[in-house]
Amino acid sequence: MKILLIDDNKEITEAVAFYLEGADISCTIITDGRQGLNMIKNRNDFDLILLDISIPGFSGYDILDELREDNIIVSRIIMIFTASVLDEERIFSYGVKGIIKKPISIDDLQAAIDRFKD
Amino acid sequence: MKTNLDKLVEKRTKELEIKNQELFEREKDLERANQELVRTELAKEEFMSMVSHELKTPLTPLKMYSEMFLKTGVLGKLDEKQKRVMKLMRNNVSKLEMFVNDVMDVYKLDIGKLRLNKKEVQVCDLIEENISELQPLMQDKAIKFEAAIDPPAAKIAVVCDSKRIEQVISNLVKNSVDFVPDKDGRITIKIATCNTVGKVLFTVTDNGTGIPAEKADNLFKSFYQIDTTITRKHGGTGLGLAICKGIIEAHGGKISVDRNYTGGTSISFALPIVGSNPLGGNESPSTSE
Repeated sequence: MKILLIDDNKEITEAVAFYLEGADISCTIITDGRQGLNMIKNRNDFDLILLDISIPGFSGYDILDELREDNIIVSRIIMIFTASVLDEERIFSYGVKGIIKKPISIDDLQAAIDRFKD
Repeated sequence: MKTNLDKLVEKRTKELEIKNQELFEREKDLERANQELVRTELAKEEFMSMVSHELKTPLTPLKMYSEMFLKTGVLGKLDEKQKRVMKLMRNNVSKLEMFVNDVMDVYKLDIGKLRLNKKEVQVCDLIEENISELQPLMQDKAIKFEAAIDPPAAKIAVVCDSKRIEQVISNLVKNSVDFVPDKDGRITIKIATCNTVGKVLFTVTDNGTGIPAEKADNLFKSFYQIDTTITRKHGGTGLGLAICKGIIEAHGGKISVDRNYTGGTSISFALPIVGSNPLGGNESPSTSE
């Protein structure tokens, strides 16, 4: 299984990567929004994309806006990391598959992995 | 030459013009105040989002690593002492997370943005998992904890956000845990149907210190606690019951405390039954509110 993780917080990416490594899952980490968008556009071999919504500069919303403008359907694979509880409607309006709330729990992360494993 | 009538008309016209101008200015003031209010509300919403983000983001590594230690063994095995310390850390992360969630829930209820993921669920399914999750809380005080579900109620379906209803039951039971005596504590969840009003009634009863009658009115208000020393002793935000009220009302139900119950505290809430055809009657889930 291949996962793309886009989050600017290095402590979080390290913790998620640490868990994924233990579960034998390949994880590509991007900490910059624009680079994350390019990665999504240029590669289509990820089974799951974990995207933080509040990346400074070019945010998760900016990525979702651009993907929508380019008619790139993201609902199949994107799960959103968010710590805010007020933006659920907006996030789901992009047709994403789900939200993993921060602080992220191992159970929620594993449930997302199980959902897209096959 | 102007007649008296002409002069009067002129005077009245001037007065009207002045009044008109005043009204116009007042309308402008109100418009400005309204715009300011919208700006303030948006700023408040952004601030609350930022607070939630800033408080919850640093908790992620703490939560994930402690869970990796305790659940997965990915980070190696712990001896008993290390496990106790790790559990302590994880529990405190959970407490802080719950505190932030409570504050955010009250804010969302306040601005009408509580998102409910409503689905049809059987009452028995709704309660079963909740009870098993709450059971460990009874261990410290050896509390007798039981659920009494009327057989007809178990088969009934309600449309609700099951996570939110579980949150309500959990809040009520956790409150009871804090207030029952150290010995012979008892907490009961009773579920029954009120077919006359097409509702299913959930009641959490305990043999704790009870609610003084004069304080019952404030019980479901935000930031209200019967006794502030309780906060220091048991923690909590004083928001739990206000959140319960908001969630139940968002489901079209009602929550109330039974003022006539003298053996401790008894709080009930009612949810509409799927496909029910209410026959009318008193909709209050309990004897009084």
